[in-house]
Amino acid sequence: MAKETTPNTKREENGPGANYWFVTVLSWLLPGAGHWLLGYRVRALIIGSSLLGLFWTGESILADNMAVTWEVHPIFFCLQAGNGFSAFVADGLFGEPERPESNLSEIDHELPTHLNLGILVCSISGLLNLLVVLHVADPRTWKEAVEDRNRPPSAAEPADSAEGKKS
Amino acid sequence: MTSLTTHVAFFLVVTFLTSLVVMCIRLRDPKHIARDTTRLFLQVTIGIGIFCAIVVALEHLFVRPIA
Repeated sequence: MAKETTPNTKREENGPGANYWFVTVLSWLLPGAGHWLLGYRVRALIIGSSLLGLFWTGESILADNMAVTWEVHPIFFCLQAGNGFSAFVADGLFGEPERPESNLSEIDHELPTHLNLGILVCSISGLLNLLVVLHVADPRTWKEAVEDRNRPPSAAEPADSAEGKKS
Repeated sequence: MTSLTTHVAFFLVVTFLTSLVVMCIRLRDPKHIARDTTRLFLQVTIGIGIFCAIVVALEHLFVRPIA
């Protein structure tokens, strides 16, 4: 897994450059994209499918145009925004409040059954992606990616096993 | 599917995916990722399961009988 590399693993010696910020921001916008560009493609697929699956499962629970948006609940929207592009797509698709604000009791009756689960799942997905972004933004991750790229193929397996406990 | 079953199912799914993503961040070797994901998943589920059992027992003893 660690041997899959791309030219994007080049790290600027004089501090973070445009490529660093591009990969970090892309990692936020699309979960797993940062690891993909660093060369960790299997991990990228696992992270991306897990987080996007979790987020859109949560959104599907919040069907009937009842996604968490900035208008509905700003705090939970901030937590969801960790998912990047997906959160804004969901906001655009389902974010328009359709219920009249004057009739709160009717809103309560129309709330989805598992609204709490949907909010929780989407928020956890967003927070996990922030962890992923922090990992991509860590200069040590870039250093390790460069080391993995420069490692000869025969040394890849023992090195992965030896360093498996710490990445 | 009852509400309790749904919540337990989602708890298991979220716990597993959280363990998996955290281990994908920390580790590089797929074998280590699989092993430590399973370990963290079991630790969290068993720990919270024990905590839930204690809460249910206390509720049964002091609050109200469970139907």
